[in-house]
Amino acid sequence: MIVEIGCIAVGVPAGYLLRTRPAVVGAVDRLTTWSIYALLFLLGLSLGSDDALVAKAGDIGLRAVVISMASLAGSVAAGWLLQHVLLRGALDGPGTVRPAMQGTNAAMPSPPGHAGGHQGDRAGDRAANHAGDRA
Amino acid sequence: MKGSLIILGFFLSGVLLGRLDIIPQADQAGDLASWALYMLLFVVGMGIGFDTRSFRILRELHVKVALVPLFVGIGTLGGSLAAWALLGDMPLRDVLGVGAGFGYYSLSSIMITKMGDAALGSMALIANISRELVTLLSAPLLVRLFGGLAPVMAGGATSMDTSLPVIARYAGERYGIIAVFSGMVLTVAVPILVTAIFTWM
Repeated sequence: MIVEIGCIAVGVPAGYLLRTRPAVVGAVDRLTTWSIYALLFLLGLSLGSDDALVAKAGDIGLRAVVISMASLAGSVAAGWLLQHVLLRGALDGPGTVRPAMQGTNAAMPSPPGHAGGHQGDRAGDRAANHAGDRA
Repeated sequence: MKGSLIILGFFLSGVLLGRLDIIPQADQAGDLASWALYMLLFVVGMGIGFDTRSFRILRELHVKVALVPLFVGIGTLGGSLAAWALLGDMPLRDVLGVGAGFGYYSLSSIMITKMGDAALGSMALIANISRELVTLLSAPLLVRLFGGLAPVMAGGATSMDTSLPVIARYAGERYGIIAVFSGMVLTVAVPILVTAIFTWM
């Protein structure tokens, strides 16, 4: 497993040094895409040629969905905890779309770095939505 | 979205060809796959080296932003433990490994195939593709229910590229920047965590 990490560890400085060469960047992009295609094709091949695995396909898919949805829900819960309990909205700062975009919210001040102003957060989020809808 | 469909197409055509027994030495592809994996890891590393955005973002935003990918990791770990308890008959190592893809389905499924087996690799592919897909489809709902950070958390490693457009649109530009940072950290973390889980558990 040292080899796997080693391949990445050698790649990062190489990429950093060559990052200004468009030809290298393009070649790396194509190589990445096609080696992923090839490897996932091979994964499909070893799955498809194994009768025991094909018989279990439904079971594999179901387990996959259980794990991914639990991970997603856990992450969203952890994010809610981080934002509303630990940081109290500190991630909403200057740079968020201002509520001034929306008529009803125009009068509501939304100072940067407001402490515990969850109403303000939501109004800002709503305004961002509407701004997005119009764009 | 289009990228994931193409990848799914390659995977499914592999399944189909394997089913039809057209390629006689399907089980001898292991050596080739090993070298392709090493090359993939090297070019993934180079791709990380090309991109200097994360350093800039960390300088411009508050250091607290660094907590975002950490909490994606904690939440995914918690969720994976719950899934492990629910499924009942899977080794903890396998469940954690599948979860630790954070939506980065290509690399995680390939690495897990090599370190585990094809069944687990396929499970990682489906699990992480569905994490990306559900993030894309539910981003507006997640923002409304849990705030702007929610789609960033849901997206995991994909929040730097595939799910970035929906995050920026529904959560706002600022969360888009946080998403790029969190996604980059998690992208780097995927191969390290997957390797660690399968080596030491």
